[in-house]
Parts: sequence; structure tokens; C-alpha cells
Amino acid sequence: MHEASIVQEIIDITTEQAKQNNAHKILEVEITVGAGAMIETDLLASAFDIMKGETMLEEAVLKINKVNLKLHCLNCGKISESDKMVSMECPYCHSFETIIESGREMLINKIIAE
Amino acid sequence: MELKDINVNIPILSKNIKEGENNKKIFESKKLLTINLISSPGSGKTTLLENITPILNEKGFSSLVIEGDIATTRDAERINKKDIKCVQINTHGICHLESKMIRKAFEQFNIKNEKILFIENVGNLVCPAEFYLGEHEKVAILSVTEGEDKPEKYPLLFKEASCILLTKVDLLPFLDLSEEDFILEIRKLNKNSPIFLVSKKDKNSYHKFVEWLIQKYFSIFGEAQ
Repeated sequence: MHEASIVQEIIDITTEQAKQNNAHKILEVEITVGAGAMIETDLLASAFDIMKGETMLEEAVLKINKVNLKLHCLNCGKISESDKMVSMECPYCHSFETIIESGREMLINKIIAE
Repeated sequence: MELKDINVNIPILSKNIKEGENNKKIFESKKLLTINLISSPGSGKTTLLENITPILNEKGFSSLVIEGDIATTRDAERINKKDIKCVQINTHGICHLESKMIRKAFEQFNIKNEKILFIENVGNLVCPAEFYLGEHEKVAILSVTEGEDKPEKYPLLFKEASCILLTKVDLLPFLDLSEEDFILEIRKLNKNSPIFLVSKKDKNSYHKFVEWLIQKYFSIFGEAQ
């Protein structure tokens, strides 16, 4: 849904970083996306391929590291992991009193440029 | 050519967050409580604003409204009929509002002594939950006709909302659902935020939410008028 907005941010941030390092071409972008971030990674990859044209990233490959959503249950204390955000329910005790420990991140880790 | 390995470590939405923080500073300098209204299309966001802004006016809390829509100015026209200052944002296909759009829209207001800024987000339960706009509170709106399963299907919004409004409750007698069914589902995800039941058929149903807004205003800006 909003993957195009996310790709535009990736292009803007990485272009700025490359320029600061006197590079003129980006060959690789590595990002981390949590399962709890509302991003469809397949759509993100397609949007990236369409939008990178006529930018410094024209030849760039997008590497996506997916990290699981970690839920901490306040009822039984257990931590559960999931590769999708399907529910906030604790799989052990079925309580919904859970806190998102991690897995909502959307981060640009690094770029390889020349 | 030499290859450079450049560590970036920047959150993808950092610019939006920073612009959101700047928005918040501006809102606070103008003493505006800012509310981000998020719901599905057709849940009753505009109807809610049409009904609560006159009540707030009577209590000395006049409002500003930013209307976010993919297309048309129909919502803004409805709000303008109520003599409420309203600026329309057309996103042209973008499914959510972003901080930068809010700043540009906000610059169009001729602010007098308004106390509350309502941002009516684009009708969507997913994307708007990811984009901070500089608001003080996120308010989730759910109409009874959408079904009681929506909180569990869109958990992020209902988990984060500081208040949840159940709208169109006058239609409950025609559904196979009770108000308890909805409250149970919302409470699974959100134990503490207040839930208010409203209906345009009963103007009194809005008072509790109006009181909640006024209390929020006082808790941020103090009681001195």
C-alpha cells in the first residue's frame, strides 16, 4: 500500500549518503524490515525496481533482511516470535496482553557505492 | 573504480518522524491539542467532526480541521458548512498522510484562538498507523457495521490508539452483534484506553468524547484560560 513512499525515502537517504562520501553510483542497498512493520517486502522490491530508474541507484540491488516480530506476554512472561504480524495473541497462554518487544523496525543498514 | 562500503544505519521513516516532531513544536507553540483520526473509509469520521465541533465551540474549544482524502473536496465542503476552518489535502492515490503534507496544509490556516486541531486521515486501517504526523493522540474509529473482528485484524492501530470510538451504535439492533462483542474484542488488544459509543441519532452520545478531549487539552496546556 505505502511501499512507494518507503522506496522514495530509501532513494533519498541513500543518494544523500553516497554524495556525502563522494560516490556517484550505488550498487547495493541493505535494509532491515521487521515483520511488525506494515510493509509487504515483495511489493517493496517491485517498487524499488521501478522507481530506481534514472537515479543514482539505477544499477543497485536491494537486499532485505527480514527480522521476526517478538511479542512479550505480560500474562505468562514468555516471548514468542513470528515472521508475520497476524495477531497480538500469545501462542502459549492465548492472552492478548502482549507488548511488541521488537520487529517493527525499518532501517537502512548500509550501501555499497562507487 | 574503488568500491565504498558505507554504513548508514538510518531509519527509513526518520525524515517523516523529524518533520512530525517539528509539526508538534508548532502545534504546541499555538496551544493546539492535535488529534489524528484513523479508521476505515465510511466509518463516520466526518460525521463525528460535524457533530462534535459545534459542541466544542459552545464550550470555548473551537477547532481546526485538516481533511485527508485520496480525491475530492467533499469532506472539506461538509466541514466548512459548519463554519469550521478546514483545509483539504488531496493525496492523489497515496493511502496515508505524511508530516510534510500536514505542515503545508497547516500553513494555510488563519489561526485565531482555536484549541484543537483534528487531522482526519485517509480512510485506511493499515498505512496511517505507520506515519507519525506530530499528533498528541491517535484516535481509532470503528463503525459497528464493519464487524467486531477488525481490531484483531488490524492490531497495531487499536493497540496504539489512546481512545477508541464505536460509531453507528444505533444500528446494533439490526446486527447479530452486541456492544459487548465489540468491547471484548477491543479490550483484547487495548486494556486501558477509553471506548466511547456514539451515534448521530443521539447528540448526547458525543459528550463523553468531548469531555475526554477537553481533559486532554488541560493535561497538556494547563487549566489557565
